[in-house]
Amino acid sequence: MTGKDSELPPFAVSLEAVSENAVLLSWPEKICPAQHRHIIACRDAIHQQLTDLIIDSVASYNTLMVYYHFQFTNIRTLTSRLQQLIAQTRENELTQDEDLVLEIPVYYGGQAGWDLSRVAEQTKLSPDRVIELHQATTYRAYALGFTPGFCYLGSLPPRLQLPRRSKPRASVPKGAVAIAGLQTAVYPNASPGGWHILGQTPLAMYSIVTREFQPLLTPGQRVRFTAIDAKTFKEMSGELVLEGK
Amino acid sequence: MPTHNTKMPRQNTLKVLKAGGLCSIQDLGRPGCQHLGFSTGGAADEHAYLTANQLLGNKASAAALEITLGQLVLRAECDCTIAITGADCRACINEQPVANWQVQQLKAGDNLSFSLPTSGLHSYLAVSGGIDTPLWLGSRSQTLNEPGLAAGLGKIAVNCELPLTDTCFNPAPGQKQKTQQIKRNYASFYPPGILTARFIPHKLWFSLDNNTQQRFITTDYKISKDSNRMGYRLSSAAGLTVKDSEKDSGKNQTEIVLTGNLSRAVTFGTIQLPDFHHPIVLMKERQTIGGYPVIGAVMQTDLFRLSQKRPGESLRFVPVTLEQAQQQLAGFYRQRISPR
Repeated sequence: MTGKDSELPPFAVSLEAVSENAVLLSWPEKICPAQHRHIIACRDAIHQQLTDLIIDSVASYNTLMVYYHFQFTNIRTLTSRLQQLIAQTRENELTQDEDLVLEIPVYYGGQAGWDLSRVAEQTKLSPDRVIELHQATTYRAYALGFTPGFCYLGSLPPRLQLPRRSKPRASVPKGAVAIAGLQTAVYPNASPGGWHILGQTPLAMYSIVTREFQPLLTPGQRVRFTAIDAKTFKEMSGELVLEGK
Repeated sequence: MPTHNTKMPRQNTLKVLKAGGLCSIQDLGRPGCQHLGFSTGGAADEHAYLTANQLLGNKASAAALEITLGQLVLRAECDCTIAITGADCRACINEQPVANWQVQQLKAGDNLSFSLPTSGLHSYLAVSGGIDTPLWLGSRSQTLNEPGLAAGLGKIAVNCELPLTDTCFNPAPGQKQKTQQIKRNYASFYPPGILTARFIPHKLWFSLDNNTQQRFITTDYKISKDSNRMGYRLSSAAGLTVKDSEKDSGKNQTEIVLTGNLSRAVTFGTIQLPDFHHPIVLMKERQTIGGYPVIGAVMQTDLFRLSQKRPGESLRFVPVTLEQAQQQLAGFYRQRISPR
């Protein structure tokens, strides 16, 4: 898409049928809050207006996967209806959700931050500076997925950006606050992972209330990390997991 | 004889006496939960799973037991009507062999055993009315990768009791006993020999040069040991070797296209390419989002066939159009989901 955005739709979106029952909508490959607001707005519009056709959708940084009942439509009809909806849908204003910044308490470093000293070495920053920089940004939740409750948060300050660990760990603890590339996240459960662990949070990334799964974060939400000490971590019922344990 | 009178547990159950392989309760999965990060889950081979329910006149979504590599012994704690389908596990009732793809009656106290299958991976045991564990996210499917999140029954192990509905005994199940001829038709869903996995190509496929495309579809990929319900990892020694000369000349197409992407949702059948030697085909318990380049998606009816393939067996890829794949899948469901 070229030209000024006054005449053309503000966001260029391509549609691709990727499976019998899934269409992938792609925005330009970048991490951008405004573009992501448009993705979320399109997601909501699609679910509202094509209710009977849509099974599920998964939003990410620059994409929206739409799963649909393929027996009830054909790809041409669906594609044109989606295109129409996308063209009509404007970027959401700052929603209430977004206005509210969720604070995630983190016990950085010490026995909680398995990789803090290595991250400091590799980024040529002091551990304190790493912790400071990680807290300095208000992050946006771009995608929920990989495992239940895992939320991809962006964007990490450039000075903290590192490739993943060359050898992923077999088990990253529940509550680990970690970074990789442009992203940061909290592991909702113990799971394998290759991200660098800066600390641990006592906060649960999801709850199950009357057999209903409720994630703490959903795409579009804004998040900030705040340092707490070991004592506060414990008071908040945090369960510290030591490396190798 | 019935042990359940003493402790007053639930009467209609199948009790696990021995569990050597992998075993889980499966239905059609939970398609509406991927936005929360939950895999869809569900029966790996829907052909065998749906046929088992159809034979019994069950709802298509009635939960059944997916038995991977046999080695399971159950005892019926009540009379019940069952159907066994999928990989031939040489099932026996009280040590008497019974046929696959057929309806059988079990009496309270009967033992039902499954051995290692002669070929294939997953056998399905459906019971009239379905296995009656609690619903979680609209499904009874169990997953291996969601510790602490599963509702209902835990891992299926010795002494586990699988709850059945009170309609588990049906003296006149939905369909009559099948003849040998029909039985052969059910099994003919799985052609012998190397599997041709037809795939819906994505943008990345169309950006490859003809030579690279040809090499991808003429290569036999071998299923590696660490394949499971999440994904099938493949390997090929001969496929798409990038010659040094190509690297030197800077015409290395594979390196040009396989640069990193921002993570995005992945579907059932997504073919990920960490590199051209080791494609991964994502299955029912896949993660919901992935970051590897994707070349296409294997059509779903072929994924049911693939799920029965074992490590060491091979497959070959061939492109198919979206319309062909959709027609195949629509026809597949028309045949196996009886209107009720």
